[in-house]
Amino acid sequence: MPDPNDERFETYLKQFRPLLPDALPVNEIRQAPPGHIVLTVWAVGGIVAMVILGVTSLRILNHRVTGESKHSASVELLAPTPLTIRGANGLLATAPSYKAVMNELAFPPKTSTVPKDKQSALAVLGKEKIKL
Amino acid sequence: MGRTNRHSDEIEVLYRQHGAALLLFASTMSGDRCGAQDALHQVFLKLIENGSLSEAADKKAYLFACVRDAVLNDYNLQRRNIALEADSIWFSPPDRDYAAEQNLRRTLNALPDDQREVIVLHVWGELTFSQIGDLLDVSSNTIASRYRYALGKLRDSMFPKENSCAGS
Repeated sequence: MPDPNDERFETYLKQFRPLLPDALPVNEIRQAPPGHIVLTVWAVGGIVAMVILGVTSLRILNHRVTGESKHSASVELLAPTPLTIRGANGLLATAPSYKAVMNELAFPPKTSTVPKDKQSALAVLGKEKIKL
Repeated sequence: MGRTNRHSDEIEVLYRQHGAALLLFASTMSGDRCGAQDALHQVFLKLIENGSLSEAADKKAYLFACVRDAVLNDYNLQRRNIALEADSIWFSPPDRDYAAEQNLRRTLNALPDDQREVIVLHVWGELTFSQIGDLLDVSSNTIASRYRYALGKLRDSMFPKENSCAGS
């Protein structure tokens, strides 16, 4: 048999309503993009950046090649002959002394890059006898 | 995607329906309203992520059990050891009687843990003695007698001179 005092007191207690909690932060979760979308965005961004870099470097290379071809008539770029064991052995076999071989390797003879109708200033100065 | 949203909406509806009672329950367990709020959010966000609520037969009782576990885990409490916050308010009192609200809070806080749990779960959580028994793993008869005993103590503490409630 329920006590009427208990029931009345229970009714009185129920008049005190518990305060509402703060809103559930569920909207932040919903707004956050899923992981695979973020990855896709990064991948696309990376590809675009690589394409831009590629195109830019190609254009720079083309520009350089065009510029060099304009000067090719007057200046000839000579790559130094690479030193190989075979070449060194050949020099040792033909050269009169070891010192001559070393000189040959350290100071290889230069071919003239100056066109035929012009003179090298260095060659002219080398021929002059300067009195000190 | 649609199923996930439907599930999330269902959890939000449950949050709106039972959030206040769950928060009160967590607050009376921990004594710390902010911590109780965090525990409550933690439970509901986990439910949204995992979708485990659909397996529960009694959703409301399940929610109270989850909140109870979360509070106990968070505070590593077997027994409550946090003092009641003087500034925090748990209830919206009738007729803005904040003195009565403070009195109720203080009296509730003075009850032993097991009695306070039963009072909160039955009066404000609106769980039956049987549901509370399942939740606390105690027989419903024990819960009923614990409730009557706690209610009497609460009434005597709040209204020491007259042995009946003020609302009567």
